Amino acid sequence: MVFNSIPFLVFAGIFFPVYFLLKGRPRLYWSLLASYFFYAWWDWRFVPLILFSTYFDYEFGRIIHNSNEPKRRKTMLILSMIMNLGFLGFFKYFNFFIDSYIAMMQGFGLQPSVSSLNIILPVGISFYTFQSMSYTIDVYRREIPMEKDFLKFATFIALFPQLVAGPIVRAKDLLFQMGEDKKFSWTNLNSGLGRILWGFFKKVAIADSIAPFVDQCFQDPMRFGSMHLLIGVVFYAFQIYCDFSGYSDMAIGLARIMGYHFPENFKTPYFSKSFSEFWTRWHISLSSWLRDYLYIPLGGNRKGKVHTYKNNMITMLLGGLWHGANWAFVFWGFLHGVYLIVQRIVTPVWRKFVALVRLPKFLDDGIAMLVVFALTCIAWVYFRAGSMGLDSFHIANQILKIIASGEDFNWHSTFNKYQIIKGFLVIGVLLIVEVTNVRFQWNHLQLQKPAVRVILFAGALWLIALFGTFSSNAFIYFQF
Amino acid sequence: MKKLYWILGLIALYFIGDRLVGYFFQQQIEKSQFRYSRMYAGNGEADILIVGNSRGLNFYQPYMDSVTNQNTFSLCYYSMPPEMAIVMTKDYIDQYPKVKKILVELTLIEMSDDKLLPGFATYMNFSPRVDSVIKVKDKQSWNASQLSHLFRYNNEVFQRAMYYRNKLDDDWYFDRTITEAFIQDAPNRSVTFKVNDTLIRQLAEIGAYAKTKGIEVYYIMGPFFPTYPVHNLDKLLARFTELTGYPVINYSRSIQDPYSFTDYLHANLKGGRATVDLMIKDGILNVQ
Repeated sequence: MVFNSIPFLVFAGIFFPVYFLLKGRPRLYWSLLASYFFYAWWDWRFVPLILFSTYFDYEFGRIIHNSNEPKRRKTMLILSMIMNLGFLGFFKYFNFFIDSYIAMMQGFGLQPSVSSLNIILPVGISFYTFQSMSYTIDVYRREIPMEKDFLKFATFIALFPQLVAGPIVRAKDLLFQMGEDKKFSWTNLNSGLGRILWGFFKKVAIADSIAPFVDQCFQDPMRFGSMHLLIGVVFYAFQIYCDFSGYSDMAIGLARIMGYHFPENFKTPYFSKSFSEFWTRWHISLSSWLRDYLYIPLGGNRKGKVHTYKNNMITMLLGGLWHGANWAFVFWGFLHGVYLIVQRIVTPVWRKFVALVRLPKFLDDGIAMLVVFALTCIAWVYFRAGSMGLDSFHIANQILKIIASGEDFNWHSTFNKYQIIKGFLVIGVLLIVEVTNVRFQWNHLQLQKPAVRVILFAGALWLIALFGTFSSNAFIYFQF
Repeated sequence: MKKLYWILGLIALYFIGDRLVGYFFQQQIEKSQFRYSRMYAGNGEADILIVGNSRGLNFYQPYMDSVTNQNTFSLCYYSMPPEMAIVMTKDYIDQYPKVKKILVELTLIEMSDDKLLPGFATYMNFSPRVDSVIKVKDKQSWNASQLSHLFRYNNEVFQRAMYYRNKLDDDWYFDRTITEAFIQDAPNRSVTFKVNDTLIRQLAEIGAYAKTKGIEVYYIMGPFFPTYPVHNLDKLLARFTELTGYPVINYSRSIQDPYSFTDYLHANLKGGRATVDLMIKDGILNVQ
């Protein structure tokens, strides 16, 4: 069940009234039941998997919390990691490693007798596994106490707005909101609806509108000239941003209506002036997870330059692998690792140059944003191709080669100009709203002034009616 | 109570804006120089009508006009759904009974995209037939376009109509030349025709309707890239003639020059001229 579908409308229409009619534990039971139903809509066979990992992480957390014996605590933590990463490894990466092993052996002229299995990837496994892991790690670090109430803990893991595609909400951010008996609030409703509407616009009017153009580019790049493909790559950057951040907006909005406060997952990432800034604005819940549970434990930037570079690279490689079982995703992570390392080397030189030529700040910022965006787009090419499977490197290289060749770099040679114009139009709306949001804080404004709310909501509905694409409703990040 | 007023205000504002902007867009459509706007506005009179999907654009109109000294009008559109092509052709014949010939590109029934059908909602106010086809084939979209008038303009057809708001759409041709890499890869690609009897019979409606008005109809298979494999082509042509009684003029392999193509399916301007020359040679078009 996806948020932008009729079944979800029916689901929400039943869920919310009952949710606000109930109080205390019955409300938690209802939330948990509805969340499992929401998940089972895809594949009920994987509900026991969530239940299993929820139960064991609850138990691991309890033992870790209650024990003062460092060895025992550590053993329990390791067992929890093995269980969580074991599930993730089996369902998501088993075939990937087997296929890679077979390919490597074949490269040496050997014919291994192993073969891959027919494994279905449970939707959202990467998200809820990381969420669950953060709980046991935080309890181990004594950053949070254990949750005594299993019902609260299970609801925290399965809460439907964030269950299948994030944001990865950590226990310290959400679990302790579970105890509060939240009353229905018009402010929350309006605020939540505003976020949902904006997320819906991003998804159906931007991501889904430009998706066919992008698909064409990646399916058969040889058909097109460099300008067409360049536009395709830029469109993909916005497609994935609007698809994923649109989902996050809807998740945040739904949680807001329920009375929960989810942390932000995106903060206008394409306005970043450096890659380190980019990773504080893009998929914040994952990048902060990787920072806190991987990069910093590895030593972060505390052990000298070489170690910092190594830690950057390991974090980004694993971040890439988190997205999917394909070497192209790993390469995407590798590119971002390289960007972060090169940035550390180049920035001091660039700063000196800026000071020397007295480059105006707006130009300095503009160049930085453009460079970060361009390099991010190059990495996206591999990421997008990675979603396509076997020929991913070939396709990505082909696209970049044609763009670099400059062949047919003119407007005349582009196909489907109308899709291009529409794409730029809706991206323009996005940029205008995001830029003006810094000053006007649209969501706060609509909460304060009902007239503004009515105009903004009506405006969003007009834009959705005029630009929305309703034929496809799957979200890109569901596959991760 | 105050909350209810705001909600009612939102609904009212939405529908007022929707209807007003919808009306404004309809006015723009009426004034557009795009082919369907011209047709429904009464400015589409011609001697020869071309019907097809994007491959119908291969029949290079300006060249056809100049060598035959006759006017042509095209109803072709990328991946045109055959049902829409049929009703629009009937609309055209009703509105312009003086048309002498209709050239129908046959891949209309093989290379179309049904998802495009609701896109023609932009013209549903001008034609009960267009309205009816969308209602029958895509009820959900039809309902949405009744609820929201803006939704009628949420499509590529409307965007094209706006693009041609102040200029004729006579520049809508393929004038790129196929890339070398694409030429080399042609034998590795292919298309397979499905040969659908229902669609064949539907397309024959154009011939039957035109016949009642005394209009000549030619079904033509336009050129494909010479080394591009097309499976079931002969089967389609034979089946078409068998079911409808109409012969098919087959130009599928008539152009051997690879540089006369934009891609495997579409001739460029050079190929378009060559196709028109073939039609003249075969007596489909007359040089005057």
